[in-house]
Amino acid sequence: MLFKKAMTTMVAGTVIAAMLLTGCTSKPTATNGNADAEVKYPVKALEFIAPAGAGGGWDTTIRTVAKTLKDTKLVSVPMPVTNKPGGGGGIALAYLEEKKGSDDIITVYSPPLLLINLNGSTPLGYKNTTPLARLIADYACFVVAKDSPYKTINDVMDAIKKDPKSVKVGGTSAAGSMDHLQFLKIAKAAGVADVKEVDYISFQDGSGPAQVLGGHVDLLSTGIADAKALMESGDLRALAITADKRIGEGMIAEIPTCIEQGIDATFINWRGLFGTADMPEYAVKYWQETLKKMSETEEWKAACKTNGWDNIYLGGEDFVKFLEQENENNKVLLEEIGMLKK
Amino acid sequence: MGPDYGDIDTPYKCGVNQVNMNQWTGLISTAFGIVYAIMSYTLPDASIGNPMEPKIFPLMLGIGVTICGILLIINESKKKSTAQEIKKERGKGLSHDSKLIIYTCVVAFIYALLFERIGYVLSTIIFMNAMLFVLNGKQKWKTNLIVSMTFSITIYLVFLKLLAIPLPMIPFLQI
Amino acid sequence: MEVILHNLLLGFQTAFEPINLFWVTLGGILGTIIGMLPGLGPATGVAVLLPMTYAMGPTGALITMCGVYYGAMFGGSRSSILINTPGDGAAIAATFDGYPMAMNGRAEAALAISAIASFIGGMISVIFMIFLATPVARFALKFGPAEYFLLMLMAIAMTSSMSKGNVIKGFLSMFLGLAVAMVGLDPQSGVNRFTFGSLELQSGIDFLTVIIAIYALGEVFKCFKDIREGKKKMQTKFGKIWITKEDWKRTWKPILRSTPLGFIIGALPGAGGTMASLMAYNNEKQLSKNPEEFGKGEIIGLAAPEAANNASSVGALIPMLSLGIPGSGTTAVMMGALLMLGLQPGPMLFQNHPDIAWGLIASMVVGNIILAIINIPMAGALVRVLAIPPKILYPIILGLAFIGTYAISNSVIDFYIMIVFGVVGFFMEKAKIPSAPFILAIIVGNMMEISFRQALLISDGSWGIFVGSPIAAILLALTVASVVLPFIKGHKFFNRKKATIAK
Repeated sequence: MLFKKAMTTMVAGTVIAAMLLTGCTSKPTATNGNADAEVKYPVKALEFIAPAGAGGGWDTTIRTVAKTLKDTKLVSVPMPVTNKPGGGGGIALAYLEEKKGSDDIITVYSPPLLLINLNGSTPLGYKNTTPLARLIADYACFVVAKDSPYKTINDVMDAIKKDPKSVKVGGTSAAGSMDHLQFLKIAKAAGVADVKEVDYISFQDGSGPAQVLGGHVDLLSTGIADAKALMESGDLRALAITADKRIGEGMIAEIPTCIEQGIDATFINWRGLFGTADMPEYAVKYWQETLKKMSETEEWKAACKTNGWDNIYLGGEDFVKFLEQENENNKVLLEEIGMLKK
Repeated sequence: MGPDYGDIDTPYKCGVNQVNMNQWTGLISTAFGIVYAIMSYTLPDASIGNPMEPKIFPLMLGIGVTICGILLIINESKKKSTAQEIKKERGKGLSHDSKLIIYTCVVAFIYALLFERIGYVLSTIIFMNAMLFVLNGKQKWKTNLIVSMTFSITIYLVFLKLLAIPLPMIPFLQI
Repeated sequence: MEVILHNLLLGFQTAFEPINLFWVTLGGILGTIIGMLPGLGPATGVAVLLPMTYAMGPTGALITMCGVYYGAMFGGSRSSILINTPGDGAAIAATFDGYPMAMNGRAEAALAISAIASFIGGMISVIFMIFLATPVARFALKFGPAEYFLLMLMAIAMTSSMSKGNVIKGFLSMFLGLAVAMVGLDPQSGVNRFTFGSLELQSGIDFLTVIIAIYALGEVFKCFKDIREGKKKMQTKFGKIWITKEDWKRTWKPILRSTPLGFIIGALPGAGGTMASLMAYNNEKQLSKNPEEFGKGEIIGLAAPEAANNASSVGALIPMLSLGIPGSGTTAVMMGALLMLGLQPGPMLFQNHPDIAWGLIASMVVGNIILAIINIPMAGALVRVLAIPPKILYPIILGLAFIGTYAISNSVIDFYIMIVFGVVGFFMEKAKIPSAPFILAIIVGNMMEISFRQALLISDGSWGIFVGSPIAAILLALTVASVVLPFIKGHKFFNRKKATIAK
């Protein structure tokens, strides 16, 4: 018995020692805050939240923010990122509501923040947060396979006008969310009468580009980053982007905007940072200043470039106004396809 | 395997001798399948596309469960379930103990309630001691305490330092 | 050809740099530890180690991530074998025969064959990848929603019809699993199904929670009395971590058969290791002369899924590297990391950054070898987990189960779901309903339904799409065969005929 016990303890000890050892070598300096003498806030570790799983747009954004803040020494306390996936961001929103008034929670959102509230997925919305700053924008693009009969976005719209079922539109997000709405917005502006009739097929596992490449859907409504590799290799052809001007460099800059092709509409996939509702004044002020500073650093600009983001900082009050405006626009569109929760 | 103790669901004790385990399974499945199918049918309509679309697949599943359930019942009633068979089946029971299972569920439930309120380390020590108390015995409380403390603190550190996943902290102390 | 060999050589030069060797070893060890923890699989492993890789530069980062990926795949089945708790979905099949082997006192052989099969599966797949990446990627493009639906249908139909004992119960289990999978927000229409107003249920029930509940909790529930009364014995003597010649003779063919299967399934975006390993298991069971040994500690039943599992993890890199499309959760995270490092995965990666692309492939070879080497001694230490008295071991398993569940989505709601499914699993066990079809159905259920509807949406409601392509037709035929075959096999007439032919 004694032997067994000793054995057990030994094994347990070895395992623990091994774990601690590897832990220490991998991350030597993650202890609690050494308070900066000049700034009283923040003094302890912050809680950065990605409202989705690892690897997606929200996750990438907030991890890049954390990295930039650390690299530029704008924030010296630890900023561990926690993933709170679920409900298209609604789970994280519920968590924010629960932690109302705390000063150390920062999260990231984009248009779905408005959409999940409008389509009734969650009763919570942007009003249950403190908008801090809009940081970046992605734009949507519409791509087809290289041998597709459609040469311009207008070819697609003409086909839809003749027979709404003739073009199968694919996208990554759920029906009634971003990829779907961005196409419908353009289609409506192009004069498609009944946008509700257009078939949208959601490939949430991210296989959209493969599906359009394999000829299973006719057109893919997506973000530029998701289709970039296949556009560069010539396997996919972009018909239009939804920005108001041409963006990027090289191949991306050759994609015409919808406006150029006579369709007067744009769609921005903005991303911004948010705190909890009733975030204390000093924290709000701190973050607005810090994020503005960050958006002007070389490190941030470089990160935007590698990710293909447009650096469109918008702070405080202006951001809130922007959100209100966006919310109204989306409401109209969702109403049209009958997905607005009344 | 040990003898059968305190079955939660063995029907023989209720005096329904002719109904065996498989028939019970069939009955419960059939009931579940029917309820599921009805619930599927009463789901809200989709606002875009075919309004029936979100219902068709679950409806098919509900029907599938029901059919399997009915087949089970029919199959079993065809078989002549002799007293011997029933006896045999009883003998093969698993070595569970319904009281202990309920105990585990209750302890786990309390663990879930405490988890975010008093932090990972404390709640886990309580949970593991509660489990060790019944399994390992209260005489060995020293071992229990050492095991539970080592476990919870190790896991906490591994998650925090190695994986950079912060677990709920003990309030006020912030550790 | 020469170009490939030249580039490969270049890759090996990169991979053999001491610093890169160090990274792949470190990644492998960390990955193994992460993989062993229930609930934490390769995707989480790669994600949490991301910050570490920023400082390494692209090559080092990629190589480390590969090490973590492989390590987690190796590690996942360790806990399946030793404590009946799969580290992630792909390791479920390892519990079927791995845990019984450990209970029969053959834990050493189980751990050894799992490492050997993983190694061989991984190695052969890397060779496949070097020479066949482009054609395989192009083949995978032929899979539209209809083909995906049929592939998944085939996988679960096979698993159900191969279930121990009662075929009806196998299908019942499958239907129940699919029913559970329906819980959540329907992405195609935005309708909430069976969520009962709960926000947490909108994102569905995570299959990992169910796996942990049914296996870890289920095992504790099942053996409670034996544990308490000390009837469940611990192992005190340990042998060498190796297999006998006899074992090897029986397993090498199944390993070689399962590898290409796993590789191709892995290369299909979204299909993944769970399906690969379960299909390999079914396949071997079907081919076996004595299928009744499966599930009782048959070594083939462990070797085949392990080989397929690792082969699929290599295959999953193909859509990422050759198309820039993530083929699995893990590759999605890796792709995100590549983008952050300023690399665009996709067809141009091999042209624009041949050193990195080929370095990655070479490091897969190196990583595989190193993992096999470190896994044998590591298994020697790990097997001593069985020396912990069950009275103490099982509460620890419970503790691990809960923390693993929490790690999935950082939410306590999953605790309640886990308790519920622990009880459900217990009743299923009592009613002798097999759990494998249930779990596989929960894993593929959502995607299966979505593919089904996507297919019908594309075809404007015509069911012809399910026989519309040669691949679809073949898959459908195989599905029908796999359902009908067990009935025919069970038929007396057929058996007698076979017996006479055998004479």
